[in-house]
Formats: sequence, structure tokens, C-alpha cells
Amino acid sequence: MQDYKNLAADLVAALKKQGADAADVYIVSSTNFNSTVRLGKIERLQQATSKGLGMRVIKNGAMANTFTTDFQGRAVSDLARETLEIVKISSPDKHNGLAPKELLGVYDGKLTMFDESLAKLAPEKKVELIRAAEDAGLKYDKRIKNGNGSRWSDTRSQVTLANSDGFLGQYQTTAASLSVGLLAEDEDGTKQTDGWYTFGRFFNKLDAPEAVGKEAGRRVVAKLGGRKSKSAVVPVVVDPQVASNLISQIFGAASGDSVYRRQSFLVDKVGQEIGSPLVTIVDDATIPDGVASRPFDGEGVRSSRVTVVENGVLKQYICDSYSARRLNLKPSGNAGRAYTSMPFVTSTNLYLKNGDTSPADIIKSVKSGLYLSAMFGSGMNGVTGDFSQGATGFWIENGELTYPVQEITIAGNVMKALKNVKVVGNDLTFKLGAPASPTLLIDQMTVGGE
Amino acid sequence: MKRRDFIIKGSAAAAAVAASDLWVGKLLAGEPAIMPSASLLDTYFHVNRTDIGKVLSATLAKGAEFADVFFEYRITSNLSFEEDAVKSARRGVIQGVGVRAVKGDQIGFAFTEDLSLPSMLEAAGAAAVIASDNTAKSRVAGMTDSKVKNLYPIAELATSTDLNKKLAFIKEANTAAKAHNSKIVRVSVGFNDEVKHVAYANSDGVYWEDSQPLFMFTAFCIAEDGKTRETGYKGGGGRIGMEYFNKTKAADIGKEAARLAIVNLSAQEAEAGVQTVVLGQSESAVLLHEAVGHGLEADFNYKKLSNYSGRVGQKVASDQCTVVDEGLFENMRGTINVDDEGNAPQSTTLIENGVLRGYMNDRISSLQLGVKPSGNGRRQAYNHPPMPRMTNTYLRPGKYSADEILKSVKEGIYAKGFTGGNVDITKGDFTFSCSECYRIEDGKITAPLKGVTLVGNGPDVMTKVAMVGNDLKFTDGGWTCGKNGQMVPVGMGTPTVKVSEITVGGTKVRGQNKA
Repeated sequence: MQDYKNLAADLVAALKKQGADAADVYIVSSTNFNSTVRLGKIERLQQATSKGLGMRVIKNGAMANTFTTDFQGRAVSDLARETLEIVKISSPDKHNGLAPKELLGVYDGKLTMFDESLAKLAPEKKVELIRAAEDAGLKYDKRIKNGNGSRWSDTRSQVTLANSDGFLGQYQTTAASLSVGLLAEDEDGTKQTDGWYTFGRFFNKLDAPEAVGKEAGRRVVAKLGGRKSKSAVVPVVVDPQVASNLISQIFGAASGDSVYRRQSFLVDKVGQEIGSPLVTIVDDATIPDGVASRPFDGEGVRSSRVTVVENGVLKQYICDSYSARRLNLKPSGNAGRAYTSMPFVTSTNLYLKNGDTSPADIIKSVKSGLYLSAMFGSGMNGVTGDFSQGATGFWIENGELTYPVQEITIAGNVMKALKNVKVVGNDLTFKLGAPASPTLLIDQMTVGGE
Repeated sequence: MKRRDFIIKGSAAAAAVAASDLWVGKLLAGEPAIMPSASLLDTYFHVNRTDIGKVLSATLAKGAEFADVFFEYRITSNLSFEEDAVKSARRGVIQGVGVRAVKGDQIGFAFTEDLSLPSMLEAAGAAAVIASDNTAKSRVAGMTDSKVKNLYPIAELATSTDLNKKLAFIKEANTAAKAHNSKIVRVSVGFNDEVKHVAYANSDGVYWEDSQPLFMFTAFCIAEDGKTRETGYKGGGGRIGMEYFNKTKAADIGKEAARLAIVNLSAQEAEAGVQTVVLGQSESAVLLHEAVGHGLEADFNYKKLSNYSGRVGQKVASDQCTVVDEGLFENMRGTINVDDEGNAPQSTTLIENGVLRGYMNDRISSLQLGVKPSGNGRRQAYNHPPMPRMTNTYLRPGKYSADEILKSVKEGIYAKGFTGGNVDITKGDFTFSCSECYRIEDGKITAPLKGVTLVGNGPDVMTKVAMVGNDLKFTDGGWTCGKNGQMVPVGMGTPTVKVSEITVGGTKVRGQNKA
């Protein structure tokens, strides 16, 4: 992979020379491979190298950014000139600027982000893995009659960031995922689809293909016979994947971007109890082998560990440098970046801390309620925290999963739900990516059905 | 694992797809004032036809039956206005080429942002390996230019318009939103536009070029009354130029966003469970998009993954339902002059008087099903292969007035504005989420309700369409559809519709304390 450090640093210097008060350049380059196999046959094989460059200038307090995928000298220098034209259009804002100098830097602990063995894996081997995974899924049960496409995807990417305060950083990451999609059919011809996957930065930490296939099989067969439940307010056991979505909503509401815009249900809530005392939410970009660890953020701020919620109390807002200035806070190393965008607040290894109850024991504790497997749709209001979404799951009766439930809704409010967390599971894992959460028991949610 | 296809209104994801360019007319040498007339290959890609022939040959070298290349040069930009000031100005150029080898329904695909011949040949080599023969089986035919009829005539390309003119519209919307009500505490206005120049060639000798303009003008408001905080959003646009504002006032877009935020301040909690729902004209077409549209994309059908697979000729909706996908409406967001494989868009009747008539096809699915391509092969960009996608999907008007429909409902919900929806195409279960809805009591619209999600099963709900109105209206250019990780702009429309039973995701339950 080409080293773009010189390109980034030279471009920053050129922008300064052309009159920028401050500037930064963010370059992402990657090589990607993915393949889809369906019923044993390769449906798609894709390989590519990809790159993009974004530059940002600040002049007279105003900010502008531009981007290109064309790295030829003339294209880049033309764009640099244009960036300095465009910035004249933007309004001055005293909160604009690079991140504070004293926070710039690279996390000095050990982070493992790159797996050489993954980068070297041959395409034929990858296709073999997909076939093995899909095959295990298709063989799981005779009611599994079709494949929805099973997929391997891997990427090796390099991030380079330079700014006019002297920051120059670069890191490389690898990531891969293997997923299986299956279709099962009832005696009455009703079809169900589901799947499973494994995800990670290191080849040897991915689940075995057979395990992924079998889990996909178990899941799709479990959905057979799905029907609506009655409308009711009931205790809900929240699957880790759904719970991680709730955690994301909390993070979004605690992000400085949303707070200074008053687009958040957590405005003026720092120091207050926003959840059950069982809830502690942490964002840690410095987990040594974390799926979203990184040495610095999208503005060059050194990575750190941030406690968002501790024992139910909101500890702080999460900021990039702009929102930090707006709120009179310190950036927390949570600036996200894409070459096409300005910095924005984003999470890294965001998780809800483990409790000590097993998921099985949580289910056993429910007399009558819902096990919530998935939530769908755009019915999530980040400003009020109100949500109303489509859902699937299983009905719990006397501590046991009974029939699969589908075509229902689940509605409530994110903050109320967080306050109603009664039990936190002990099954936290980053195997499905970040954010992550253990299983939760939430006391009261409204299920809409018949 | 979620395998769902979806649609969303406005929002960040849509903005990322539909970005714009404010300054290119002034700043990029050679950028034409309206639309380019010289060959795009020369103007943007600096690639000659001989080299394209070499790339296609290399893509066929291992025995693929078909090859194509898709060159894209997209100029995008975005101007965002918050707190009475230009918050950010952005512009970008995305260029690249996608190379595809096809064998049966197998695809080898590669792309590169570097348009030099060695890079393109490397991509061709990567795509070619989907076939494993030692020699080419197909040859590249001589290239013939296809004439493309222009369905997006524009008077003034937004990307070439003077910035001050755009700022004036933005300020107009901002002022109108703030003036609407003193409870409006924040207003954001965005002007996003793009022009996407495409050149396409395939091994059958087809060559075409197209320049696709697209813009979206958006207003977002927050209202506060001391107790609660609510939001309102309105967006509009299409494949149209600045003349959009001759018919639609920027002020009205600002005002509408403010009105929605104020309405939502007094919204009450809705009851959960099965109810009668009247879907207002225009945006309720989200129902069609999810309940019918995705399930009728032919890739899902030749693979027997859709709940509509093998059901052509069968009754799948009530008699009153005729659903059409049509990429031909001038200046509409989902309109295309040519699909991304070179097929002309057309009017495709999907359901006629309740009977399933056909699917939406791309090249591969049409060959698999033995039908003609319907001009629905679309791709997000050069770095994605095409697949069957919707263009502008709508329900033909029926005989009832909106008033008659409302009066027929004693107790129910009137849903008018939506944020999005999604569907599991295999089982057909879909959701769609309201941003503006009201209670219906004795045939009259009464109290506003908090946003609810409606869920149902496609074929089941379509049989419960009890009344179709005579007031068909298309959405005003704010919708983006997602499928298998690819986003494309779409249009849609519907008259007022009554659905006799649909599950409503409220927070209240009869006879039980609320959560």
C-alpha cells in the first residue's frame, strides 16, 4: 500500500502557503475483497483498491472542506486552490479550529490492529470458508431449503492524517467478516429468513465457519411458526444486538454535536441519573485488540477511555473539538472522520459493562414477557428518545421461550427503558463488532400486536 | 442478523448520496453552464475508446459471456446553514470506473479510482476471474453510440448557479421557519446538489453517456415549549435545476418544517394494536415501496427468495390496487434517462387490479427469467455492480375523494408524513414509520399523535386496501432507497388510501397502565 504521509504533509504546507490559517488533510486508502456464495455457487467475486483524500481549511474563522478520489498532482493542487475559494463563502465562527495542540498525539500503549495472516489469505481459501459455512447451515435442518447468499468480506485500510499544528499520524487496520444467510420453509409454505455472522480484526479470532453456519441454521429454524402476540405492556429480555442499538442511541444523545444543537434528550442532564444503577456505559478506543481501537481520532487527538454513564449517572458529553468549544468542554478523542466529511462525534469500542447474570437465568426470571431479537425501522426519535419500531422475538411464558413472535411493534422511550433495566447479563462480547452490550432485562415496554 | 431493504427520507445517509456543488461553474475550468455537449470521455475521463475496448477484452479473457465498464465523475457539494450563518461549505469530486464480468448469474467485479490503462487492466483482470477458462469465449463488438432521450431538461443547473442566489433561498426558508412560531428554537437549512457524469460501454457494443443532475433542499426545525422538545423536517427537489423554486417557494419548505415541529409538540401517545389506518396522499407510498416494491425486484424472485416468487397471475392485492414503476416522469428524483446497464426506463405494471403482472428486472434477472429487461438495473456508483431497483413507484388513483375515505372511518389513525420504512422480503413483513399522524374520530381528523411505526405483511395488508382515493400525488424529491448496501434516489406516489387493519406501534394499551 502506498504511503501517503508525504502527500498529506506537503498538502497541508501548500494550503498554509496559499493563505489558510489552519488546515488538515485526511487520506484513507484500502484494499477490499468480498465474495458471495449461494447454494455452493459463487455469485459474486469482488476485488478493489480504493482511495480518497479530504482537506479542510480554516481562514478568518470560517471553515470549508473538499475531497477527491483523483490523486494526480494537478487535480489535488486545483482542489487546494478551490478550497481556499470556497472558504470565503462560509461564515466565521469562533468555535472553528483544529483540536487543541496539547491533546494531539498517538496513544502510547500497545494496540494490535493489523493481522498479517488476514492480509495474506488467498481468495480461494476465502471462498472455501464461505462454502463450509453455508454448507453447515444448509445441513442444519431439512426445513432449510434455500440460501440467501453467504458472504466473506475483508478489508485492509490505512488512515493518514496531517495538520498544520505539526500532527502527522498513520495507522493500518484489517477487518473481516463471514456471514451465512438462510431460508427455511414451514409445512404450510411460510418462508422465514435469518442468518448469522462473525466479525473481527484478526483471522484467528473469527468463529469457525461451521459454527457460523449452524448458528444461522438454528436461528432461521427457530423463527418458523412465527405469529403476532397480543398487545401488552410486559417485561422484555433484550438480545445483545438490540441492546447495543439502545446504547448507540444513548451515545448519540450524549454526543456534543447533538447537545449543542439541543437535538438530544440528554440536554442539561450531566450529573443526573439517566438510567438504572446497574448501567455503566464506556467508550474505550484503547482496548489492546479492540475491534474499533485506534491510536488517534479524526482530528489527531490521542485516544483514551471515556466513561459515558456510571451506575446510571450521565458523566459527560462526548466531544470533537468543535462541539467541545461550543460546550466549553474538552474533546474526548471521539472525532470521527471520513475523507468526504468534516469531523463529527463518533464512538469506538462502546459497550455496556457486564453484569453477573447469565442470559438463561434472565429468561428464567420472566413469568410472561417478550424476548426481543430484533428491532426494525426508522421510528427512533433522537431528540425525545421516543421510539416505535417493528420487532421480532419469542414469547416467554413461565421462564421459557415458547413461540416465535413476528409482525409486532415495540414502543417506548430510550431513557425510560434505561431506567427500567432490572438485570444486566454477563454475556458481553465484541465478536459481532462495536457497540456491544450484554443481554438486558427491561421492566416495562409496550408490545403492539393483535 | 438483519437482512432488510429500506427507504429513508432526507437524513444524513441521503445527504451523502445526494450532495451538491455550488461553485464548480465558477471554479472548474471547462465546466459547462448547463450540461456538457462534448464527449464525457474527453471532458472528464481522458480515456479513449480503443483503451475501453482493451479493458472489455481483458474482462472477457477468462471466458465471461459479458463485460461492461461504468465511468463516473460526480461533482458533489453541500451548503449547510445553522444559527443564521453558513456553518459549512463542502465540495468534492468522486471519479472512478467499475468493471464487471458476467457468466450466467455470476459476477466478477472490480473498480478503481485511477483511470490509467494499467490500473483499468488490473481491475479487468480481477473481474475476469469469475470465469476460469483459459481462453475468451465472447468477443467485444464494435462500439455504437446510443441516443439517450433527456428526461431531466433543466433551465439552470444548480451546480453552476451563483452562490448568493442559493444563499438567498436558504435565508428565505430560514426566516420563514423562525417567523412561523416563537417556539421554534433552531432552524437548519441545507442545499445539496450534484451532477453525475456517466459513460458506459459493454461487450455487446453498447455505448452511452448521461449527465444526471440531482438536488435536495432541506429544512429542519426544533420546537420547545418548556416541557418538551420536538422536531420537524421538510425536503424537496429532484433531477431539476434552480427553476424548482419557480413552483415551490423556499419559504414554504421552511414553514412546513416549522409547522411539523409545532404540531408534534402537542402530540399524544397512540394506542398499540390493530387499527384502521387512512394513509394520506403522496408520502404514504412508503407502504408500496416496502409492501410490494422490494418483493417484486426480480433478483429476489429468480432466486425464489421473495414471498412474491412464482406468483405472476395470482391475486396479491385488493381489486382497487394497480401499482406501477415508471422511470419516465420528467425531473422526478427516481427518473433515469437510461438504466446503469444501457436499458431504457419504462412504465412497468407490477400489479393490475390486484393481480401480480411482473417484476422489475436488470440484465441478469431478465435472462434468468426469460423476460425483457425493464430498465431497472441501477447502481449507487461506479464501485457497486447494478441490480434491480425501483425508479418512481406509484399506486394508480381510484374513485373516492379523500373526504369520503375519512368519513368512512369511525375510529382510527390518519397517517400523513413518514420518515422511512423497511421490509423482510422473504416473509414480507414490513414496517414504516410516521412523522405526522392524527387520531380519526367519527370521520374527522382530531388530535396529533406521537410518531408511530406501522407493521404488516405485504400481501396481507395489500388485500386489506379497502378504499383508494382519486388524489394521486408524488413525493417532492426527498427519498433514498437502500438495498444490499447500495443507496439510490427514488420517487413514489399514492392517492389517499384506507387500510382496514394494520398494527400500530403505540405506547398505550387498552386496559393496561402505560409504560
